[in-house]
Amino acid sequence: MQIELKHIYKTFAGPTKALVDINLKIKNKEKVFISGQSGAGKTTLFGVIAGLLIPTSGQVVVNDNELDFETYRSLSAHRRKVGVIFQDFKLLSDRTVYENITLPLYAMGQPENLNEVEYVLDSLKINHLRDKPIQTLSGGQKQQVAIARTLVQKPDLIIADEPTGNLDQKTSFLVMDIFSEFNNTLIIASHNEEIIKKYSQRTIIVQEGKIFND
Amino acid sequence: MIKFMYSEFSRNISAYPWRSISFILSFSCTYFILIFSSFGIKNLFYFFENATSKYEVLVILNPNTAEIEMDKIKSEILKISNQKDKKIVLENLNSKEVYKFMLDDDNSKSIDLSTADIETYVPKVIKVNFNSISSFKKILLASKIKNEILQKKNVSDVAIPYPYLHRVAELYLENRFGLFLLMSTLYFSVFILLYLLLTLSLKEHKQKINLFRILGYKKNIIRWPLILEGTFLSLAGFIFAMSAMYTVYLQLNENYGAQVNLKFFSIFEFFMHLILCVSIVFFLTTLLTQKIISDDFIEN
Repeated sequence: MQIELKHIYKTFAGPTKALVDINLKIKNKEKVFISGQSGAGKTTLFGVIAGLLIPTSGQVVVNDNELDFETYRSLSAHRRKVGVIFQDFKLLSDRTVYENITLPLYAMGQPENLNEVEYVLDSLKINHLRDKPIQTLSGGQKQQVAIARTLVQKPDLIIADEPTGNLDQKTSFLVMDIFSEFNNTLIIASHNEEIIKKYSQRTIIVQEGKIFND
Repeated sequence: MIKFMYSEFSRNISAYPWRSISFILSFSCTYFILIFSSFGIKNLFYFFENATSKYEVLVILNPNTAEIEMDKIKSEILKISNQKDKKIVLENLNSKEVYKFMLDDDNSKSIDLSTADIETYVPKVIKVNFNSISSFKKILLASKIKNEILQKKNVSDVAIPYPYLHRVAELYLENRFGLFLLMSTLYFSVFILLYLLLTLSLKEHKQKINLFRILGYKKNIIRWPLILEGTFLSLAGFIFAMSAMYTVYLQLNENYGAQVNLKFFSIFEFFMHLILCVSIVFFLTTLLTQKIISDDFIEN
């Protein structure tokens, strides 16, 4: 998926300007790391790219077509193609790991496609967790489940906000290896210098809602 | 997809049974206000309708001048009532019917029924029958005729059945604006309570709704399990409220059945209330889910 942001501004209630005149082009299958301090605007930027936040002004162009933020149908079609891994995981705590991982299949209208679920559980080595309720998992395990859910979605673009933040070094590299095998566009926010050095093709630094360095 | 929507709906209901029970009880209390108000209004109107279905006025003329005054009094009655001839029937009555009628009038002043010689005392009587006039009009008209015709010098007495109804009808007319205001306030309160209950119920699902939106679920897949859940909980609440109302009705009938003949809802009225309650919830849930789905969901 190719993404282009043109003069994107995003303002929340109050004087805070979360994003200021963002111009950015991410090519199809490009792996991009986004770096910046807390509150720099990374999460807001991800929200706009994923179609979860409506920009105050500007355009988001996806594969040469402008994203229509006005209609739910257009937004939900875009969201089905984008897998987002959040810092707070956004898992349903009253369900098991397996139930959480299968959720994207219903959005895509393919509830029977369970082979993909098995494949992802094996790849991330979390098969033993499949029947465990979410509230019994550690932070790192939750992170892995959130990643598994995104991979099951087979998205054209993965946006990951600190995907290795809660993982030990071994699991971090396992996850990053899986991401690097992912044959589509990838945008990752990370502070981990080692991971950035090893996997990055392009690093963008965001500061005070602006692109500081590309 | 229907299977998924059904499983989401049943999960919403069964995953937290105490939550479901507390919502059912809250719906039940809310609906009880509405049902009890309707019960009160229904019985007020039933009370008037039942009491006035055979409503009539009897004008007893002075025996000495009856023949002369008859036509004059008749036209006077028509004038007072301001009704077309078709709606009020004036007829002569025999003494037996008069006797029967007088028994019903607690306020009849001139005849001591135990001793009166009906044949000689009531030589001429005008009976006023009301046709196709609403219950309230009948009662008020009878009262008006009694008050005005009684002033005429050749009228011996005017009898009306159930005189206490006049006071009730007058009270109703004097206070109908207040009653309307009270009913409107009660119905509005029910609407607001339902709105708050559903907002509360949907807020509990907000995390799930937002995740479904992030994953790109279609609107209907997000919305229908919630609508079904709201409808189901409100339906259960309605049945509880109706059962409670029936218990109250039985209790009232046992204690006051001799004085006031109370009526419970007919099957038609039961279903009308059911449709009303469920439609409000259906409408509000649709509106609220639409609002949640359209909101920006990452807050700063």
